[in-house]
Parts: sequence; structure tokens; C-alpha cells
Amino acid sequence: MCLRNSAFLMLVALALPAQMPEIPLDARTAFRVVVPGDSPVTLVNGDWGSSKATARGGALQVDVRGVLQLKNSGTRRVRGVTLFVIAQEVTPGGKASVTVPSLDVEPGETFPIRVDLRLMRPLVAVPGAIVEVSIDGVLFDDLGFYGPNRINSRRAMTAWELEARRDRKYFLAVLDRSGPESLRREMVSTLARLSDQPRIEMQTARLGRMTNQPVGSERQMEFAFLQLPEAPVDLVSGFVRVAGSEARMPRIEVRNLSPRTIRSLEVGWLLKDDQGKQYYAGEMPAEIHLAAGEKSELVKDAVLRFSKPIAGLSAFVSNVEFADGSLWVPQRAAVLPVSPEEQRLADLYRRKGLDAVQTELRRLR
Amino acid sequence: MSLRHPSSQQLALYAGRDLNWFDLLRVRLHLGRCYECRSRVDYHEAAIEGVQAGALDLPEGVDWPRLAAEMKANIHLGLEMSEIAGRVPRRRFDPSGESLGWRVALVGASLAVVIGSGWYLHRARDPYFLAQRPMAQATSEGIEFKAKSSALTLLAPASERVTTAEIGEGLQTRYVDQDSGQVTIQHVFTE
Repeated sequence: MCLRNSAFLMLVALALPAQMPEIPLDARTAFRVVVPGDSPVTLVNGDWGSSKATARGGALQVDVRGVLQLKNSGTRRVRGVTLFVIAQEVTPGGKASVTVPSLDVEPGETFPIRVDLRLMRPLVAVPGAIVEVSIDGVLFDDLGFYGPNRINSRRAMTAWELEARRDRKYFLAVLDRSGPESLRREMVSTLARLSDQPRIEMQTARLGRMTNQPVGSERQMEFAFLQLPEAPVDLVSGFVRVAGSEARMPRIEVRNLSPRTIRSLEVGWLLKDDQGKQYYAGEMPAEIHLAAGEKSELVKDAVLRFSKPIAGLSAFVSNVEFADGSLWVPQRAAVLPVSPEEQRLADLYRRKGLDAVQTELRRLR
Repeated sequence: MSLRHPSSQQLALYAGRDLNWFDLLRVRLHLGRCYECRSRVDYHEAAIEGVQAGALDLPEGVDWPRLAAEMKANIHLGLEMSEIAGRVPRRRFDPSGESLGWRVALVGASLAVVIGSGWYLHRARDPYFLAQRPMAQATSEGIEFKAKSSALTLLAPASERVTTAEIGEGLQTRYVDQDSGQVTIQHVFTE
């Protein structure tokens, strides 16, 4: 078997420079963009210009470089769009999404969304479209929503929009109260926080039917909870099984402190490495029916592997959706991760300076 | 963390399980810490799988008798070259010799150490057998859904500040697109 493998690899390696088999892609059939007839966002143009497929040994690599020009064909301002990307034919089970929050697109205006992805699979011809892109959701300035919401983009985009409004309001208050220099300090501070948040490498998978028994050297690690003012949910207790840099099956007990019924919530978690450095690790969303005062346990059937050893974990309530569809997001706090809007404004400051940030804040007031 | 990456050849040989035991352990240790090299190994494994899948069929138009004749000629050439190089004096193997016992024991012990180390390292690296599951992973290029030999990667610009987090069923990255100035949030799902 080993000799066979070696021979195959040598054949592949020898064949590559001679052939470099780049397979032409016909953008009309290789990519499909699905926009329903009643969509308030329509496709103006799909540019798949530099996309290509290349045979790499026994595998086919498809590099998709697409820019979709979309138009707000409705009557309301668009605040966010989520595209659902599916490559089921090429990568069984492969689905993804690309979201652009913090938009401000007037009716009739066009805007681009970039879709850059790579597919890899054994070299076998695939009929039909390689990649299909469709609209999962459009969020408007009145928090109205359009779309099939297959991947729950409504809640995610609404939470980001509420955070964006919260952060702009805060920065405007800083500007009005303390002047441009204070706003500059805020922007520099955000850039520093982003720099302190390195690109942490991680892997995650569902555990499926794995038993609840401890595996190897794993131990139980308790969560520390961040208390956020006015949170409608109390994180009562929680733990996760940890082995080195891997954590599995986090469990958190929650209690509804509000008088309203909760239908979903997200718990964010922060990871501390053995150097004491803290990283934003992720969110644990849960569809849950939790009446006023009730308790429940959130369990995530997944294992996470980080590139750093786990020395500690803390958790916080990231957002709560009530039965009436309204959403709660926490107030600004230094311990919370940088929001998408904060990141956008800090990047605007870095590229175009403080005046551009002031103009943007006043425009979106 | 080992900063020195194994060479492409070593990764290819690792994928084919053709490395010697020392390099195998060294590469395996490195792979436990380096997602980029692990991805490369995955691609090599995909290549092997693809070639193996197509190996049962001969390419169209292959001149089999000529190929067989060339192979035979190469074998003869090799044998003749070894004749020219001359015979290397060899020590006779004496199965009844007294020294055989400790040699067998040494070989057995070495094998046990290698097998034990391999098993331990494998367990230490992957106690949940992540590599065998459909999974999402963050790499230097972006976030990727991987199942067997197939992968779907959402690419993020290398030069930008990219944050990655595990959200729900999968991974999410976030960066600011430098052309449009828009925040872009990508998500791959594990199911």
C-alpha cells in the first residue's frame, strides 16, 4: 500500500508541471445566483472574472472570485444582506454564508458583495452549477426583514444593527461631549483591541453520538460569568470538558430574569490561554422556550480545538430574542468583543482619518 | 511550537504513510500544532484518494505492450548495473548464533516504543478524532468546511485584520473589505 501511494504521488508530481490542467469555467453554467422575483434586492451584475478550476493531482481545485452588484429595488433603506452559498454538488454538506451588515443603501442605489471561495474535491466531473448563491435575508432600517431566513440571518443581522446603533450613539456622545480628540482616542483604542485579538486558529466539529464519559486526559472546567447590566438572562452555572487545547460539550444553566418569554439567546465565550491572554472564542446560540423566571440548560454538541492551551473560560449573554420578536443586546463594555460597526468605523479612521468618522457618525445619526 | 515547517516532499510522504518512523513522529508532532501543514496533508490525501479512485482504469490509448517492454528493460538495466558495481561482502546470518536473542529483543523493544509513541501521539493530538469528522477549521487563508477529501473554503484577505469565532454550527470570520469599506462576515457550517 505504501509503495502504491508513493508511486501515485510521484506520478502526480511528475504529471503536474507537464500538464498544469486548468479547466475552463463557463460562468453562465458554473455559477448560479438565485434572486426571487419579489426580492427587494435584485442582481445587476455578477462578475466571476478571475474564477478558475485547476486539476491538482487527483483533486480539482475551483477558485471562485466573484463580485455581485446588487440593487436596492425596494422602498426602504437596506441595512444588511446575507447571501447563502451552497456547493452541495461539489462539496457534499458544504454550505456557507456571506453577510454585509452596517450598510446604508438608499432605494435605487447599487452596492457590491464579494464572494471569494475555494472548493476542493476529487477530480470527477460535476454536472450543473458549482456554486449557487441566493439571498437568505435583507434587513431594513426599520428592522423589517425579507428572506427565507434558512440560516437565521434575521436574528444575527438585527443584533448587529442594534449593536451598530448603540456604538454610533456612544461615539457621537463622546464627540459631542468631549470633542474630536476624545473620539480619536476611542478609535485608537478600538484599533489596539483589534490588534490584541490575533487570528486564533481553531477547528470545530459536531460530536454526534459520542458518549458523555471523559476522554483521555480531559477535565471539567467551570465557566466564569461576566455580569452585564440589565441582562434579561442570568447565567447560573456552567462547565465544559477540556483536554489541553480542546473543549467539548459546553453546558450552561440559564434563568430568565425578565417578565417576557424568551425564544432564543446567544451566549458568548472568551478563552484565556496559559499566558493569561483573553480571546473571543465564539457564540453559543440556542433556540429555547423560556417563560419568565424559568431555568433551562444549554448544551452544545460540539468539540472545539484551539491553537492555544485553554487555561480559563468566561461567558456572557450576547443577545436575547423575546417571543414577540424584539431583541436585547448588552450595553457597551470593555470586556465585550469589538462589534462589526466598531471595526468598520475604526478601519475608516485608519484609512481616511477622523473627519471621515465624524461625517459618518453624523450621517447615520 | 515548532516554527520550522516540514518540506512539501515530507508532507506528501506523510500523506502516503511512507515516511521513516522518526520523520513520521516529527511531522505528526508538527501537524498537531500547524493547521496550514495539516491542510496540505489533507490535499495530498485527497490527491491520493483521487488517483486511487481512477487507478483501476487505464488511460485511453495506452500502449501496454510497449510500456511492459520498457519496464522489463529498466529492470534488466538495474540488475546489470548492480552486477557492474560488484558484490558487497556480507556477513552470514546465523540463526543459531548466540547473539540472536538480544537482537530480537532489541528490535521488539524498538518496535514497541515506536508503536506506543505513535499511539500516544495520535491520542494526544486527536482525542475526539476530529480529523475523521466533517468539520470547520480556520486556516491562514480563511475558514473551511472539510469532509473527507472535499473542502469548501471562504477566503479572507491575508493582509486584513480578521477575527475568527466559533458560532453555532461552524466558524465565522469578520474583516473590512478594503475596496468597499464594508464589514464582511463569512460563515461556514458544519452541518
